[in-house]
Amino acid sequence: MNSLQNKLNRLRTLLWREFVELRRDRFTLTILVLIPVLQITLLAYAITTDFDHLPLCVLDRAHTRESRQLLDHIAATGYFTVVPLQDLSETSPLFGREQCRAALLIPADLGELIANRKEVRLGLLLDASDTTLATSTEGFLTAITQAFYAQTRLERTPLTDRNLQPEERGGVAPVRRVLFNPTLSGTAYTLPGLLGMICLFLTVLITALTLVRERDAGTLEQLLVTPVTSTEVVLGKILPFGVVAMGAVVFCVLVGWLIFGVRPAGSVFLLFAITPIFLLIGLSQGLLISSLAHSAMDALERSVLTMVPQMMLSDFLFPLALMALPFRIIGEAIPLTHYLRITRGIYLKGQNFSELQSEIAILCLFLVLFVTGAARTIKKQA
Amino acid sequence: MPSDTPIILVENLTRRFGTFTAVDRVSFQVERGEIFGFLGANGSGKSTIIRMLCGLLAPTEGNARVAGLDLRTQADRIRSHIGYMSQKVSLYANLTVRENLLFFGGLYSLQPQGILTRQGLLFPRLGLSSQDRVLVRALPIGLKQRVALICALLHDPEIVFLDEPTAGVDVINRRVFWELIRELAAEGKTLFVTTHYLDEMDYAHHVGFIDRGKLIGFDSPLGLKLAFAGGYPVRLYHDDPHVLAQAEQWVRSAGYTVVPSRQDSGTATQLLLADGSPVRLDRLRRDLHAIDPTLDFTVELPSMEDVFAGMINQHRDKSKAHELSAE
Repeated sequence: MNSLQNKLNRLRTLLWREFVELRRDRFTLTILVLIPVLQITLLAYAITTDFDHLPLCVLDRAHTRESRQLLDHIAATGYFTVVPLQDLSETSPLFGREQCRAALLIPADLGELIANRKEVRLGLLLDASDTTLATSTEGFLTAITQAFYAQTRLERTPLTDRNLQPEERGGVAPVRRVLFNPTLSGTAYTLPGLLGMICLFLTVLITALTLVRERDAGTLEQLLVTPVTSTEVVLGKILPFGVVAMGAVVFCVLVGWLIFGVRPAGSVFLLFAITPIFLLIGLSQGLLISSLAHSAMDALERSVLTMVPQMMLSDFLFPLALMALPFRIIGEAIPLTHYLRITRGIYLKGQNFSELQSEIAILCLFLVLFVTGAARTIKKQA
Repeated sequence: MPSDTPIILVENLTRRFGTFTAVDRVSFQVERGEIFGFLGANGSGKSTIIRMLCGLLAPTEGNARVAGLDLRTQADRIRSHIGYMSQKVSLYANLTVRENLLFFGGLYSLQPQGILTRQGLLFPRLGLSSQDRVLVRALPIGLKQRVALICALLHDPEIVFLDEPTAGVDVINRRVFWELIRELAAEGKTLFVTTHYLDEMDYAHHVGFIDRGKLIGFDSPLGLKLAFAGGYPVRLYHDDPHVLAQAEQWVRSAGYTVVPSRQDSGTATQLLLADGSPVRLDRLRRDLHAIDPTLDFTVELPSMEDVFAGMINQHRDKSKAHELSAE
């Protein structure tokens, strides 16, 4: 009775129905693809740690050619927008309203200090309520002013002295070599993480709601009195939505590439080949939630409640390596953790299949676990 | 499977949810080609029994054989022998009528051609014709329910479980529906039907009453009514009290056990004939007619509703008395 042919017939019938409904419901289909693209666009802009025309208050006490050159130099980097001040007291209200988070004080004797090869001491006021921003601001300003100092000194050095060692010419900018994210672009780092999180949200929510709807309509019960097995019901749900979610992922990757210029260092095809495994895990997770939930609202709450800890402990928000051992163990038990290693590995490190195969194997294991788990609960909860 | 064994055989079927016993050691059997009516108040356990027999729910204790197959070990095989339709009319609302048929037929591995042939056979019998391409969402409830029944019949099942199939359906639609149910039974299918409309139970060959998880009555509709009334309640009516007394005397002398019943007035009298049969009653009617052609003789059996409500009260009183004596 349960020959393979019959199994395939039933699965084909289940898939056919889901696609007919999806095709008829263009709105849902559009939403399913558009929402992730919208999310990645907004979040990539919002979460990025890049500097972009950060207001910088400047109290210029020198008002000389050198000081104006320095300010031009700062503005030219594009990281800061110079806001000139007349008096130091003006900083307080600006800082209070967070209109400005850093102020630069240029001493009156800037020109002389440079001319005499003396150390230039610039005053820097930082709003350290956002430590990341404060540290980066300091770093950027130090680098910019040191470069300016060196350049100005070089210009004033007679041509004959130009083969002197840099140390002898004055300030030296620290040279840092940055691995994996050479442009230090925040988006390049956030995007692969966002991709994982969006995959999770999208898939869990799709199926968390769809099965509750079928149960309310009584169609789930109707399915289960036919020869269809609960595993077939699960596959019949996750495969069609997997195709839709995959479409959304391709869109997201393209948006990252074309709008943010973030392209994977490794193979984009490897990324597309592994992603369906993670999508199916998320969809099965949604089914699991759905078959335990009492109502659509309940399913929604349960989805959010399960997704938040996954975001916290998966290396998406906080570095897992810095957490206490129990949390690291929990983190390893979350599929998103492994998927993020894969997306970041491909995007940032250009890792290939053999470097990622253990993570892929773990994802496959999770998939089997979640599908059988969902099938079992569906049978029990019908 | 030999045709003389019952097609559904339920033995001590029990289902508990935590500490609550929804179904308590229920046993009964249903013969092939029968309409079996299953009655019970909301939450009495009748849906739980149907769900167990359909393999949607595992029994806690006891077992059943459905279509000759063991419920506990062969539930997967039972599914292709049964059709199921619930009060929810579980069709896909965003699919057309035909798509629903193709879908449910496909789950039984039927070929599209076969499904459409079957549709051509069943549609006219339910007064459905050109609604093929209409979305189920747009159909009135009466038609939805007919389509759902056809979906449950596509694979030509031996047994059809109908859980309150006529809930919320108007009188005309209910009649069409029941006509088909009776035709199906005549063709040899077994129909297991629950309903809230007690008058529908007169169509059934056998009726089971369930209350608080226990089977409290199981018989033919007539048998249940006679058992409840204690015999055939007969009402005699005539303008002349002498004729009435004469007739009553005749009934007693004809060998009937007459349980004294109330005397309405001088012109009418009620008798309860403890032993009787439709054939004997017919003869009695003719004999009385011979005494006086104007003598009015009617058999007044209680309605299913009276029987059902009465039996539930009796059962509850009894179990209360039982509880009290146990204390």
